[in-house]
Amino acid sequence: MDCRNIQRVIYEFLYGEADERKLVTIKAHLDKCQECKKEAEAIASLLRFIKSGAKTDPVPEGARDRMLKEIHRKATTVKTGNGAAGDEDAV
Amino acid sequence: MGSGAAEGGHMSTTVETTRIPDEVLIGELAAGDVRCFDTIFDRYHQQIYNFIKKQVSDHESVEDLVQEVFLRVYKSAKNFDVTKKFSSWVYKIALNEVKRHWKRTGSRQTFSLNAPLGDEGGESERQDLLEDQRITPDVQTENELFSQNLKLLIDRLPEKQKTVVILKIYNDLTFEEIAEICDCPLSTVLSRMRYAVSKLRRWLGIDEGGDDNGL
Repeated sequence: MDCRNIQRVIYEFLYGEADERKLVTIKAHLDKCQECKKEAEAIASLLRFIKSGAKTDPVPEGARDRMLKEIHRKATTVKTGNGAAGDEDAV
Repeated sequence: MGSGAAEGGHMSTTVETTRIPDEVLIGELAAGDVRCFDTIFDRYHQQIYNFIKKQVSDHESVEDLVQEVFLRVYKSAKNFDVTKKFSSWVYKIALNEVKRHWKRTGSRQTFSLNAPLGDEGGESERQDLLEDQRITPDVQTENELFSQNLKLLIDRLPEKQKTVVILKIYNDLTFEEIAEICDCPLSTVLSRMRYAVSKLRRWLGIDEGGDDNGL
């Protein structure tokens, strides 16, 4: 695998999603190619940094119950035929 | 994910099914056991809330959109393909809901770059910042600034690339799952990720190659 091909699989490698065959090939390449290794480390650093700054926005207080109540109400309304149309285009 | 245990209300009707797979729960819901819905909701509403909040600019709509996503889950339970993963299905519904919202409002999550990256560091310093794992008060301040700028830049990514970045980095999904959610081949997802990171590096001034196709 050359440098250009490595770029196509490097993200699977960095996230531990490369299969065994790819893993062996990528590791072998990075061991002998300092440029790709340096680039891979730089990408990994950036990804780690983005992840470290990712904060979870908690669902506002009371929103869970509010949403559940409304969903059950709407679902019941639809079931009894008084509400919105069907949902064939849901996905 | 899915806390709310102390919030009462519907919690009392939730089935204690923490070890039951999602796919089984959705099957039970499709068969008429509505108590399973609350369990599904508790497992996923927090992460879907986060996903949607990062995708839309009018944050007051987020709760309505989350509600709409789960209403669709509720109503479409019988349409769930049991050979697929439930988590991918619910994210797919969320992504479609976000797209519908963009279409309705004519907007997506965008911020103006009022706080551009400017010159508060220089390339080598930024590179050092990324690689330095030690956090001192000063570094932390700059780290936070850098992190804020990075978020603004992520918001500027093309829609499809941004979605992949969010699902991968913030929601911790696998590339396979993202491919299923986005309805595209794995290779396309990997390309979007590659282009997105390449753009971010270039915008941050840390891409030595300056080439979208570069590693």
